[in-house]
Amino acid sequence: MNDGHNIASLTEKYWAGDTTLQEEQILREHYSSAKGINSPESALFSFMKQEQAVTYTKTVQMPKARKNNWTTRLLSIAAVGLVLMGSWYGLNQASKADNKVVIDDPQLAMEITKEAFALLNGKMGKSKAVIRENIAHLDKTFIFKK
Amino acid sequence: MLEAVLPIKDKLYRYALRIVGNQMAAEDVVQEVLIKVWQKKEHLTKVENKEAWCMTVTRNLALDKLRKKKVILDDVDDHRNISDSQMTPYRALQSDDTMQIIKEAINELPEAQQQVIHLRDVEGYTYQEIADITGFSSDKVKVYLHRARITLRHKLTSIYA
Repeated sequence: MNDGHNIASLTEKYWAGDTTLQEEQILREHYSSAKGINSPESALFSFMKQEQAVTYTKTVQMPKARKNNWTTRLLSIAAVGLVLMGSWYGLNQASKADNKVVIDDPQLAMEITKEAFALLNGKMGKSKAVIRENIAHLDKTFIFKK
Repeated sequence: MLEAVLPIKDKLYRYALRIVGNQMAAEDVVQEVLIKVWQKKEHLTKVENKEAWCMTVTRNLALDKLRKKKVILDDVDDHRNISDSQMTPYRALQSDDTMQIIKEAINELPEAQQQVIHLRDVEGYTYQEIADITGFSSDKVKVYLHRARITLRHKLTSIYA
């Protein structure tokens, strides 16, 4: 099969694009065993051989699968608990703040303030009277008299 | 899913390199193919010819890359690891020149012809497999291969005349 005649006819078939893969393999082997590159065929088959030697040298990196272990699960639960507690605390503080009375009417605010001061004044007047009475009582005592 | 891709990663890389003509861009294409394979792993279990499917994905991504940006042609010679102890320095020099001429001649072929001759003469696919990968009809594959070989023969014959 590999005699000169067959190779010549196979080569013609090759250039015409009519060869099978097996026939192309015969040609590849024939021209690879030839000494030196001295014909279009040996040059082309040598080039194809060089192309076949090109390799992918980078490390293959596949996307990582998500790990579903217990640590991850516990951390997720803890994080959710923390968020819930934070929300509860925040809402509680907000409701406490709502207990403060806010008076929008300035007239009413003035009346309430006046009442508060009058009450304070009354309390203070009463205290003053008590103090005066006590001082008068002290005046009568012996030790404060020279 | 890795086991379906790893044995053909070199083929994917060479095919991407043939299309984009640039080492880094070809590596990016292979990485994108791997991600695509990962994303479509459910679908891939139903695919009969996984290799052809991966080659088609490579082709589409490489052509996309080529269209999106102008890729600076890079010398792929760095990736070749040829050991031929029989080569004399003179013959090696002569051979390098010839290889460069062939490389340029192939690069000058129309895109479709480049792909077809690569898939046939480098990767050894059948006409039908090439048709499946490229989306060309089987007849068109034969025509492209015929034209590519005629052009190469013409150029190479003029060197050795």
